Amino acid sequence: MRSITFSQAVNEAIAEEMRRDECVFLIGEDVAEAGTPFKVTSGLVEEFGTDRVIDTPIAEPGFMGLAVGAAMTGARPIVDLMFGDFLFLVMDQLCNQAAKTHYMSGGKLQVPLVLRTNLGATRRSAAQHSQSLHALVAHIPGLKVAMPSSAYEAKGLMKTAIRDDNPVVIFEDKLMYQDKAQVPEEEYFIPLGEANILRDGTDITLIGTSSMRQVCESAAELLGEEGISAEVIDPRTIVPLDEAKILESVKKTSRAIVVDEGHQNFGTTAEIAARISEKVFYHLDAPVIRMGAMDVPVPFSPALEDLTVPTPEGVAENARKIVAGELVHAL
Amino acid sequence: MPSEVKMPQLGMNQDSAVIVTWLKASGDKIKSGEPIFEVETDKATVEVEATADGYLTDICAGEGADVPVGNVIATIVETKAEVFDSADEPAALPESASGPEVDIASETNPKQAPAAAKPATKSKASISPRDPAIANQQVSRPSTAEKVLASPKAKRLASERGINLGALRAQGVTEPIHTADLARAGTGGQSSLTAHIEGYALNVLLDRSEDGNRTALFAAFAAGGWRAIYNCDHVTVALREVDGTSTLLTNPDRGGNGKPATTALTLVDLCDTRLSGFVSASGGVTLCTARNGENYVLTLSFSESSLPMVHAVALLDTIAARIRDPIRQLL
Amino acid sequence: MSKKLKNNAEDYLRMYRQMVRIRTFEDNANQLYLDAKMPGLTHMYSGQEAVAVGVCEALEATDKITSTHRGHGHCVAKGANFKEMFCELLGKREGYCRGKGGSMHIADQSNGNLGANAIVGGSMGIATGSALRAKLQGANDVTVCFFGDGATAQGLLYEVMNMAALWKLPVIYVCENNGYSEYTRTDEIAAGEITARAKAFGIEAYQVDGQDVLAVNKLTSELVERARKGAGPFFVELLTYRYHGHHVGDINRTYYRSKEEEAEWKNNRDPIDLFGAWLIKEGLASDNDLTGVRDAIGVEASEAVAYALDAPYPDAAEVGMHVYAEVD
Repeated sequence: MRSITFSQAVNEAIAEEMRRDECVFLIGEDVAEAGTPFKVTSGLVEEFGTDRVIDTPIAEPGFMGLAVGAAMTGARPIVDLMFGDFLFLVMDQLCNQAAKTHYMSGGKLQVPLVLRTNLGATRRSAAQHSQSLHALVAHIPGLKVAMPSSAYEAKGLMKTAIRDDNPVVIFEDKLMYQDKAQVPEEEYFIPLGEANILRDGTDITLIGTSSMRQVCESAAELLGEEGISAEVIDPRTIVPLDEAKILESVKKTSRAIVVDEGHQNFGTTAEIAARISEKVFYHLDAPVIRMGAMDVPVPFSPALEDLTVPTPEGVAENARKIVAGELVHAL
Repeated sequence: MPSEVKMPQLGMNQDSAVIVTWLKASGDKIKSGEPIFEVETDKATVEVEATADGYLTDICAGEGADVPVGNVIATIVETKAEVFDSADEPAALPESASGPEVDIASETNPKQAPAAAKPATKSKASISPRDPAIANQQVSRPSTAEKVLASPKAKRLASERGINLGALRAQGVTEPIHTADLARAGTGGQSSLTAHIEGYALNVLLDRSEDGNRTALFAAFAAGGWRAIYNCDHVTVALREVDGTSTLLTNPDRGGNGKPATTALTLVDLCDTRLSGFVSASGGVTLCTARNGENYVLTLSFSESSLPMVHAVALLDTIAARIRDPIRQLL
Repeated sequence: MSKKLKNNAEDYLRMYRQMVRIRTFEDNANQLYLDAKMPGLTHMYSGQEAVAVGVCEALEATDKITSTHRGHGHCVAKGANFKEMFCELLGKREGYCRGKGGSMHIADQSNGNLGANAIVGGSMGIATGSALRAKLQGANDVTVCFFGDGATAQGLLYEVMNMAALWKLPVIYVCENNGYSEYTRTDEIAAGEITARAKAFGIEAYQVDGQDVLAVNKLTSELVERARKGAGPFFVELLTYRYHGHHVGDINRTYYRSKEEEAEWKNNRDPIDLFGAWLIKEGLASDNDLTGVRDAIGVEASEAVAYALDAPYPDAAEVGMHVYAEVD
């Protein structure tokens, strides 16, 4: 199978869906000739023209609102939000309008749109261009939230999201755009709400979203060398969440660490850990450990920034402890 | 000037030790240098000597208690008059009402005032099944009176297998107890009591009833006996089959109604085999019933650290009485 | 296919009837609230009827509108039925939104009403997006964005007017200036002229008497026709007045406006009275005709209210429905 980069995978998914369905269009800042700062949408304007690859002024609430209205009246917009940090700017249009319209109208109106944005620190971009804010939107009923962890997921999830009749927010790891993965030539889809078990194990379950999938896989490698068998699960979407697969795994291993790049407090790790604790409590042989990004604004200095994000060594260290029956947090 | 008796530091890396036996009782006259109690460390059993002359009082850690090094466990006072008399303390539970578990519970909270739990070891000898203290008072169940820190899975499995976690801790298993620790259950040594009972009346009853289920009757008698000793609302009996499967029966003496509780005891009925007895090493309380011609042999195996001898005698005696005279019990 | 300017008796009488329907609907809604039969709160449109009717009579059913928290008038003017509206106000299953939206969220897709919005200025993006979709798909429908003077303080308006002007979108921004931004006089919250805001983006902007249904309809009809041909967007400020407080519970309002002022608008500038007098003067209807119209609508409203009061609430199972659309 061929290998392509994460950004090529996203680009292919958008292009294929735009060819298939004239209702699909792309809108955002510098999505046309510039192809976005990460060059993810390069080439699309040449094929589809400026009517369907629309450069906007720097007005996030404005173009987000336009997308909601277009979606309500029959289009399928893909909104490009240059940085995940700008979610705070579009919150009303996303959470008060897009998320609630279907419900408030008693099912009459639909808002089939995709909001593409990104997450991920360690790009030395400091506090306003490094946040991972997926938990924020995952909190709002009516929105779906996808977190592709490789080029393969990026394409399969994007194509499914574009065809979904609900607002779907896709968080791409901006450090992963140049990473390659095997992606089939032929068309494929990844359902929303289907986790992927990347590695079977018996001693502990490591649940890692987006960029943290690779962190968990590396941690599992380290642990494997010591005879600890770690199962690695990538939820792929956090709304809907493939709870069954996660719970089944934890029932088997009796231990779990949830790793995610969002802030730990009130975050994705907390939600998944809580569901495990609620639903398979009597199968747990250790507390479920959350490992999110440190609860500080992302610092600029590389010396500091690298401390804020979970690492394979950190995950392995906690895994080692709980498998040995040692305490991660004092009694 | 009263002198405190503290748990001594007995090894380099030891932060607690288990009291095996008190060699002196409250009120006994003590000479400096005289052994007053035995403790078990990870290496050996050691006698601890008094460091002052006087009278022993205020014993606040019972046999089986795992006591942090440096904690005060008793006091030596200069005159007999200063000895704390439990009869003067109406709020304190008589020893028969608390058993060693209350002692342990008091040890889980080092900040608790030494006088809060007052086991007067001298009263132990007076307990009998006819003792009004047993017959009329709310007696704490051994395995629920204390809080043992264990993982949810370990707790569940211990309950299913009739393993007493308090006994495990008394054996020196470090908290929190994990599933792997359950394998150590019973290694602390089980005691057993045997009773031979005339079976005539029971056999007549079983022959005459259409669906006479002997095992169910034994379970009911066992639960009734337990209730008579501990006066608790709900008694769960684990029925362990010879094929290895296990069934939980809640209040079998009350038609099986009520809220499931932690397993009180495990019943093994060997009457349909040629075997005559079984002593469990599970660490819990196990009642084995077997046939000897027309008569029955009852074997009660238990850990004395969780079920004091005096309770065990009373329990087996009352169960035996029920089997010998079943009609009276059923009426 | 587009409608012509209203110029015959039948059209005029329908406009009169629609204005009376709005006023009657609001009187009944107000009474339901005062009788404690209506949950929540609501915002009365009474006094502004000429705006909704003048504008919506210039539109086709395929044209879209977005509405506001004060949206009953737009909803009626765009063709909604009393029964489903009252049911929605009372949270009943047969309501336009199955009781899930209530007064501030009535949407009536069949008539092109994309819904009221409880966020002030919240629908400006939606209206402009609807116009973008029309342009991209070559449809010739026009979208009207209703909002109040208070919403001109929202930044979203300027972001979307900028894009609408850049891309010549078929959207008409209709600012109903009723003089008050909630409990505050408009001149205390809006600097400069309202129309100047649109002009800054090169958008043609007009100011018109919002109590004169014919003037509103005439202007809107012209702008709708031009917008269909790609000459949009447009901006219209309509000077009008709300008879009630900001919401139904806003009873004591002398701290922000006088009773004399309210009486002046009600007695001398009422859009229904003015238009009724014009119809009689022009010989298009008699006083009896108009009384008959009002009585018939009163009966229709009473029946709809009674129906809605007796109608069933949604089944509890509905609470979890429509959070997500089913995937095709």
